[in-house]
Amino acid sequence: MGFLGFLSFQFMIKNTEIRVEDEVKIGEEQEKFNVFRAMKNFAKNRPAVGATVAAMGMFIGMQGATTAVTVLFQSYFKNVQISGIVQLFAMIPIIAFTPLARKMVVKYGKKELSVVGAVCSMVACFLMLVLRITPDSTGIAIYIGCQLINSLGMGIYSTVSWSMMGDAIDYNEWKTGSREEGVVYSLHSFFRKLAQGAGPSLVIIIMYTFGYVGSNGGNQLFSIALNMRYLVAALYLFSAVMQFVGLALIYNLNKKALDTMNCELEARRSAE
Amino acid sequence: MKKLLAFLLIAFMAFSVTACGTVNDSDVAVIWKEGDTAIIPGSLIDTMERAMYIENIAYTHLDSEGDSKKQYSNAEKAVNEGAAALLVNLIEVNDAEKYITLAKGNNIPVVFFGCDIDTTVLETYEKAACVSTDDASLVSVQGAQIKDYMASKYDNEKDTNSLDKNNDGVFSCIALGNVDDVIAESECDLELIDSSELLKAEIIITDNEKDALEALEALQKEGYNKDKLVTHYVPIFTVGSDADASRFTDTSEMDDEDMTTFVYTVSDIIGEGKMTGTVIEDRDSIAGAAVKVVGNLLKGKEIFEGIAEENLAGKNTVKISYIAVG
Repeated sequence: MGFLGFLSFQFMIKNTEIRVEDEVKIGEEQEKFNVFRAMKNFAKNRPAVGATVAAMGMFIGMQGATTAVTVLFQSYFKNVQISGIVQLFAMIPIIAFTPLARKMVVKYGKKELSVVGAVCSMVACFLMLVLRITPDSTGIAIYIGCQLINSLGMGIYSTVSWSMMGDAIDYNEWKTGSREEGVVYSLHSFFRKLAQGAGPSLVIIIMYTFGYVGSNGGNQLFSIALNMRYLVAALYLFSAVMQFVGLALIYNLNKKALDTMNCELEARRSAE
Repeated sequence: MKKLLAFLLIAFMAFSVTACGTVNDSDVAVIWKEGDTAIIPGSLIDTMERAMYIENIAYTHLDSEGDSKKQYSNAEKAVNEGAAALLVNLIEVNDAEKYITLAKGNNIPVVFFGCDIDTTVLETYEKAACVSTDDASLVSVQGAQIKDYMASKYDNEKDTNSLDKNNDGVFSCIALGNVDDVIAESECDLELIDSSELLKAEIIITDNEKDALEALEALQKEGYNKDKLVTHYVPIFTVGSDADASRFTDTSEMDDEDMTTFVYTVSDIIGEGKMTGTVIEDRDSIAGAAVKVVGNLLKGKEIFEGIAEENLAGKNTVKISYIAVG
């Protein structure tokens, strides 16, 4: 696995395009960095906030649902073995999409593509919530179908999420004249990690209010397992809605705006 | 964007309709011997709720507190209140006829479960049926379980069985309870020894969980059967899986409230490798079959549509075999 990881990193390094190359002169005088101003700029940076909201929603919902999903397969579907297969199935859409990602991004735009993905996820998760997913083979088939569409939607955003943060950094430079890569990335990472940590904890509290007995693990009464089935769907829907809010309503760099921004930044850098 | 949101809203409202409606307008009365009988995951009441959900049948649980008169009174009350059907875990098997008379007089189905009813009584009403465990299967299922386990420990190349610790060609067996038929069914060379010779035992067979748990406790005191290690392990086979076995796990960090809801039974012990196997009633299938029959009768379908043929034991009877766990 380590060797594969090394090869993957080499591939990534060779295929990464450096968009901004700064020449650093020794002893050069630079404006003093102000962390509070940088954080204030982050809060005003709509693309950064939008992408962060989408990421936080994804982690709170998806990762928070992990324990509930265990109950879903053990006590609701009574088929623990299939949970691994379902997770594997869920990766199929994103694996199929990844080779097409670049072409589609160039043609339609990152925001546009991600919003469509979020809408797909919302529809899939809503269906997961309202359809009668019974604890038998029919129910498992419906669940898998909804998960495939949900995974595709989530996966589209996952593929472009970090490059959207790159655009958010450019946006900061475009609007304020100041390039604060470190602060933007680190704050984005901080909120992602916060969501990863807080998500499961919050969801456990919700599970307990729905009757979950922690000491019994995945082995729960059917009435509680049924609550978990709805909770899983609701959490996934929450993730999808947050993604939609972050990308469609807050993130404001559509294809046209991105092209305008890149042109102006290029002109500005050339002039320097 | 506004058009997209409007479309989504309409789609959400339309799809919400699919979530409504059950098969029956009024509840099916599920009349238990005792309502609070082991409400643990996998118990009959738990599996019944699951089966009802799958068949989309509305129901009400009624507790008879172990009193046959109260049970019949529950049935009468349910019928008077318009119950769609009766699903009865009968206390007194001889009372079946009066339940059938009651149901027949109101033209509603009555399905008995977890008890054996005389087929001649059931045949007096076409909407009456009984779903129960095939008691005769216990011997064959447990015997086969032991036989398969013993065979799995046989090494063809060395022509030895790892369970034969002293290599004398026979397996020293402690038999607790009425297991003679099971031993015969297993077709294994089992030599019975006294229960006091616990550490000489190469296999322990019981017909109840209490004896099995006591044997396990005694073995664990000698350092055996604490985990899945083969070297300090005596296979234990038993019947049943509901007995509380929480003394065999660490509950030191649980408070009183946790202890009231904590479930740890023979199934968990087997899962952790401390015991080898058990034979239990197939509650999922019993509940599933009982609810399926009720559902068929409510929908006007053939009474046993969807029930596996091997489980049919007469015109109005379904028999579900025991199953082996472990």
